[in-house]
Amino acid sequence: MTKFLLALMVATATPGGTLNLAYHPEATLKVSPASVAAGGSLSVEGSRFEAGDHYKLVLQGVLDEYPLLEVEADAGGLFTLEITIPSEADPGRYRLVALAPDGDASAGVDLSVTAAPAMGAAMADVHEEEAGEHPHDEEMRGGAAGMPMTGGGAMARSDDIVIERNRSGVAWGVIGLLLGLSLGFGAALLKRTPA
Amino acid sequence: MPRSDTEPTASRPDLVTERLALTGLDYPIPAAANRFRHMLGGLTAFFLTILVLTGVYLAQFYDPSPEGAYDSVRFIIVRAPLGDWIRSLHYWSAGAAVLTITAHLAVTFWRRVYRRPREITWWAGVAMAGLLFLFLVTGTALRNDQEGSEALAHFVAGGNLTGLLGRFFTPEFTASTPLLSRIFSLHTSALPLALVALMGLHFWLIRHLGISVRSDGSSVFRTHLRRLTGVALLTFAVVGFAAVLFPEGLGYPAVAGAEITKPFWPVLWIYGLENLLGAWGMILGPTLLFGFLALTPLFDRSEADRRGWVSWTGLLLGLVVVGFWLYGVFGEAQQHIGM
Repeated sequence: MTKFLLALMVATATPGGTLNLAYHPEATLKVSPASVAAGGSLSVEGSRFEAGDHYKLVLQGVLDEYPLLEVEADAGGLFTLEITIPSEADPGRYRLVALAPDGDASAGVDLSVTAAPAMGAAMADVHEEEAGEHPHDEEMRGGAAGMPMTGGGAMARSDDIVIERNRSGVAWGVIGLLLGLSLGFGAALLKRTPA
Repeated sequence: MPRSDTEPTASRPDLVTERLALTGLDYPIPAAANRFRHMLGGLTAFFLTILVLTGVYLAQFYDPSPEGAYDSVRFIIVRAPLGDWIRSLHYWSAGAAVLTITAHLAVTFWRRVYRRPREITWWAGVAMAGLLFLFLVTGTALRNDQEGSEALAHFVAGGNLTGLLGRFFTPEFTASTPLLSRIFSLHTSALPLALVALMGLHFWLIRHLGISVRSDGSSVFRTHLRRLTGVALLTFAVVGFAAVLFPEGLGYPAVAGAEITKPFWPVLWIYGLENLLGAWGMILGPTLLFGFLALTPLFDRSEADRRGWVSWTGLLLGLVVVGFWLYGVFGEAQQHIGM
């Protein structure tokens, strides 16, 4: 059991993860507006940062991370600037964080990114790229009569996206162990228990 | 205390049996109950347990808000430890539970086990089958991809069609919580609670009314449980391999208002019915099927061995469901809402 838990702990390690919990409690970030379309701009206001230090602003999504720009806090620990959300950012919830020179997240603020009307088609393109060519693309795009489109022309699709699944060696090991044990115990129980 | 040499040991239970009072499982049951067809209910309970366990795990990573749901499912597939396999296991276990509960229902119906004194056992079973159906459709909506969005739109359409009865399934029910979040809550709290209560009632009645099997031989329940566990573990391995070989996918982000996907395969008979009746199909189909099953013990109270019109009507209804299912599988995707 201990070995299984250890294996699970190793499996849970996310080397490329973006979690950084060492927040500096004093520094704060504010954004306006809190919801912006991909490709759109918003103003960022930082306060109580270390005077003269440089901070990297990073937009962190559930899966994607976009480095934005570097900013220097003034003598009062303040900065104000305007940032542009990358046009390739998928709609969803994000966190804008300011990373200190030591890599710690000094402050963070939640914001949501929406698909701009003009970005609808671009969004479809991003997924297209992610998915590669689909043999039934035209059929899917043709779809049922009266199929609606988004403002930018994105069409609904009934197939699945192609996605890189999380199948590490440890995960395979845990799955194989579980299935092997299940097979072994199941067969043994049936063999040893006469009907 | 050291054991005396004179103390009898032959009939003494082993350490685990004694401490967990497992001898309480040694009550007699007919030997024929150890056949596979009498394990279908137990297998369903096993898969429901797998669904609960995998569901609890998935819920740690799932974001039930409309803005975050889709990305959190992608996260489960791409980043969560074992997330892709556990999600696929959840999906395949749901399919397995549908197969076993349908087979269990069909076998008990055909054997007319619903008759006195097992009417309530039957009703609890039918209610559980209905709950499983609700689990399927609410679970589909949680994907929040194109298919999930269409499932959610069906809830709203069904809610609007049924007025006050279905108001819960419309966004107008409350402005404080999005419908998707409430569907998540239904899927992970209200439905499981109802399921546990019904399962408890079902098992209690089976324990005290006995398994309805004609058999000359006799066995004990612990033997049944061991064999059932053996079969369950083997089927778990099959489902687990299926989850590896055929992992569950995720559709494209939803385009609101579009209706181009087909639902999860167990629900395809309703899809076929919707092809004929529009959105009313999803209300009338389940109402007719589960209504008939619920009324069965009232229609068929005869103690004679010969099957009557209820059995044949049930068979006919089953064939009609299979027919609509095939229509749903092979028919073209259609728009049902607003038809």
